[in-house]
Amino acid sequence: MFLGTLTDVPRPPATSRAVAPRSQVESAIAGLADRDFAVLHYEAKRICRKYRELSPDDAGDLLQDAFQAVIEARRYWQPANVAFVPFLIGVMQSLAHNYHKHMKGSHSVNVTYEHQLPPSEDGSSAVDLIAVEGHASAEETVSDLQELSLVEAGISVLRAQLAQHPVSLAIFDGLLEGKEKKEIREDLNIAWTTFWSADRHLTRAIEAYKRSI
Amino acid sequence: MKVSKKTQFDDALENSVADFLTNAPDDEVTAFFQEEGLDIHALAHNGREALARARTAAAGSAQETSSHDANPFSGVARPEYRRLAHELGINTMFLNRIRDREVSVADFPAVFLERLAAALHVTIVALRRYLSLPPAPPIGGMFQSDSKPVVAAEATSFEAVARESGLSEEQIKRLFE
Repeated sequence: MFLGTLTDVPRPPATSRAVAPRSQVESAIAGLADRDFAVLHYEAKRICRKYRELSPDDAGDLLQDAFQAVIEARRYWQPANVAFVPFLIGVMQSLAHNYHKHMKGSHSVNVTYEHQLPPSEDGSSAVDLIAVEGHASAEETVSDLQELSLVEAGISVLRAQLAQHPVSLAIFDGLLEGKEKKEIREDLNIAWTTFWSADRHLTRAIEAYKRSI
Repeated sequence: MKVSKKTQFDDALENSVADFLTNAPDDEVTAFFQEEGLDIHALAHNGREALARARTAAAGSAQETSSHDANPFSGVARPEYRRLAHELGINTMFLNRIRDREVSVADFPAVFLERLAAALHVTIVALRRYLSLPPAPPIGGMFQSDSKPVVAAEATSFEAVARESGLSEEQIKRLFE
């Protein structure tokens, strides 16, 4: 369903040797475990939820198209840059985004808070106004403030949810500071299992928060 | 373009979830799905089915491409090629230009197209499909020439190409019979 809107991604230079040959792609596919397939399908659903034109029922089609694009070498995997499962998630994001762009008359990709924001005269959301480069107008300043308050509200909700989980809260704070998970883990200097257990709590809190808005 | 604070916040949350799902140990991911009330085996089954459908679609696509692009002349060796031209009542120069799709497919006499398809052991549909592709130089070195290959800008009429190839009016007339 998404393939008709696809623009092939240009192949990286052959001299870079960074692109996985077909045999390596096939090996990576053959090496996918149940956990990987489950994660991919779950991620497909999450991606579909982000777009008004898609529903979670489209997740199977989106994942199928991502696999097909990779098998047919229309999307190139560079193993040195990204592992195979995150690469496939990226392909799904790209396909869904292209599909969204293809659908004329659709609105913003990020629908998270839009129902809370007043629409502008041209129908675009306040978020869209903020994303436009240039000097801030009075409207933009108002939108900026609205946006900031919404982000702060989101942070407060998540902090409250994580109040009983100090390590999860510390990971969340690290994310807000723009740190990578690896960096946060090193900063916290805690056991591997403790970190991921705390990250599981954080992930559940994020998913609950996303469902609530 | 300036990235909004909301987008940055949303992206941070999205990336965090994806990071956990792809990097956390199996038992943590399994526990996550269980706590979310999701059956990891059902999710995996759906994922595997998506892959199976992708493989089927890719195979079908490859087959279609292959049949679309198949050159019915590619299996014809040089001696046979001359004989083929003779049997069709044309010369090799005209056959070359047909092979290189310099003749508009819509302009072929039906009877000639049938004869050519039969001689090449392909269906008329397959032959039409091949001849409908844009003009192109021959692939491979089977029909190498000392001169640089010239690709026709567009296909031209059957009769015009026949005349340019040196066929007489009488020979051309017979191609329509």
